[in-house]
Amino acid sequence: MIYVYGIVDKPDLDLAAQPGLDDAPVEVLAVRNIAALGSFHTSLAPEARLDSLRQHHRVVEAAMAGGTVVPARFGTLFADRYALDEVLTERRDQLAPLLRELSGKVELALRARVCAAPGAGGGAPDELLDRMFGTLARQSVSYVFSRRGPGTRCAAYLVAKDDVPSFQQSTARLMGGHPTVQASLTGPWPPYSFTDVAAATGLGSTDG
Amino acid sequence: MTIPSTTDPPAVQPLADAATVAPATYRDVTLLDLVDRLLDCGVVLSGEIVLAVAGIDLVYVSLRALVASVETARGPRPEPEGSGG
Repeated sequence: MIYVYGIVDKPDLDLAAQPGLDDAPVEVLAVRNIAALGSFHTSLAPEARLDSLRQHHRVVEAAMAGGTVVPARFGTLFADRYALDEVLTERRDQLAPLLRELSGKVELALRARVCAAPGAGGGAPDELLDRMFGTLARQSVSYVFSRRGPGTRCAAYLVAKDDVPSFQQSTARLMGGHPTVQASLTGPWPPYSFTDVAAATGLGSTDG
Repeated sequence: MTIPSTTDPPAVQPLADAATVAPATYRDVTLLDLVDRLLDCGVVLSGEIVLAVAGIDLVYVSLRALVASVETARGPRPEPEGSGG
């Protein structure tokens, strides 16, 4: 069977130095102008252990270093090359434009919460966070808001690689000015949260 | 299930002004973001097989305990439809 790490637009990408799950070599399995990054296994039952997750992530990061990659969800398996090629052929019209949209862009992950009691300054916690997350959304190519709770927000922002430092500075300036706000910004990540064209171009951004 | 060692986080750049983030938790948040992305995001190419991944609940339960100080809004496991927008 074939374990898939992601989809790339460079059929000549060389990932020989980056082993996959169970230290299997990662191969670039092309169908015309797109390719899956996959490793061959006689048997594999993916388990959500951190070492396995990291191994998957390292392959995706290595691919991102060499170009553009659409990360696959952890645990993506195909029975054989025929089954993989069939899906790549079926999905090529979605994946090729997506790869073009994601070119030169990375994902940043923001989590924030308001630690103080409501009314302790800066307005209601939810309104404060919505304002901050909205301000940053306007500085991104696209965004996905997720897991909002009382006084808590998470978001993924798609940002041009060159704009990462200014986005980080904006986040620090915005969040740092509010002592009641606890925040973390991690990345740059491969664009795990932007895996269709609507999401990557801002048309599919969710708010809630 | 492996308890995270936090010895090998992915390549990240911390928030430029990290005064609001306790240093001890930053690496843990990075781990949580890594797990979130790999299990909850990424393009789904082969629907029925990806759902067979074992241990998702366990890895989340462990991470929830680890980063309880920063993660208050999480449900018990990721939503299956959480990819993209």
